[in-house]
Amino acid sequence: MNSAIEQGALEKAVSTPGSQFVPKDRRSRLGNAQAFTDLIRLFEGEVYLLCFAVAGNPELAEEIALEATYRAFTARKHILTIEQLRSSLIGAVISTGRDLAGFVARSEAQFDVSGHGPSESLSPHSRSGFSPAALVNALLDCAPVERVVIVLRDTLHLTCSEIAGILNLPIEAVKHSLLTARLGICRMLFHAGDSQGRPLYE
Amino acid sequence: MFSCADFLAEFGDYLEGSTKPGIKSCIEEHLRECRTCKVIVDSTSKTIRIVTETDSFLLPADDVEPIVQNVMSRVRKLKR
Repeated sequence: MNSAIEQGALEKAVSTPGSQFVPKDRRSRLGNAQAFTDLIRLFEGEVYLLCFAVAGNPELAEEIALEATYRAFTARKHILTIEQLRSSLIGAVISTGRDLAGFVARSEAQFDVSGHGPSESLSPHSRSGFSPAALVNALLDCAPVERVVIVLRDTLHLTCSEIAGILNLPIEAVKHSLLTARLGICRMLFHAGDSQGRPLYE
Repeated sequence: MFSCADFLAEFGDYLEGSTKPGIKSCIEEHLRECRTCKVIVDSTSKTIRIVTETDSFLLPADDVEPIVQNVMSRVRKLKR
């Protein structure tokens, strides 16, 4: 996660005047596979988490991550800024999820995720006292669209309007899914308690 | 009188900080009087903080690296 490649790409990106733009030397070499993968490392955590939210299991998440990154690479000529690269990757994850996982942005669950236990490859940090597995379980217990909406809003920090645009949903449906997900995760964490089984909420 | 049902109908916007003027003061008045709704607000806000923490979901580098290498290999093939 903190490799020299990632640090180098990040430093070049943020230290260039007009830092939201892909640095000129990198933009001109965006067709270069190494340059492209250096840049996508900036978003690897976000992309994988979103893939996990779309898929509901680590194996399918990896497939979606691969295909989505490939799709973003094929569309690289239209990418001029770091923000556009991020948007392109997010859009690619959603469209790939639709094609590979049958992800459809509706308000009800589209496929059963009850057979999947907590992912060992997606491990929540435990420093806040909550049970690591409980958070992943709570996320998996949400309907796919709710998982995706809460990750886009609360982890990737997109606005509800942006999410509505990406998922092609009315903003009220996004808000409804977001609230349902937040309350659902809250309920799951409440019942799970902290990592020692003590009440998480006073 | 602002009821619990009224509060829940506005709860999503309240969490987003986008409550309409006038409604917000009704909500806050309701929360001063209703412990149940106050608990819902506090626990949901705490949940949002947990989910929002950037490192709430930590991706082990050992698991991510093969995926990135796989991506690199795939885009290199495309270039040929």
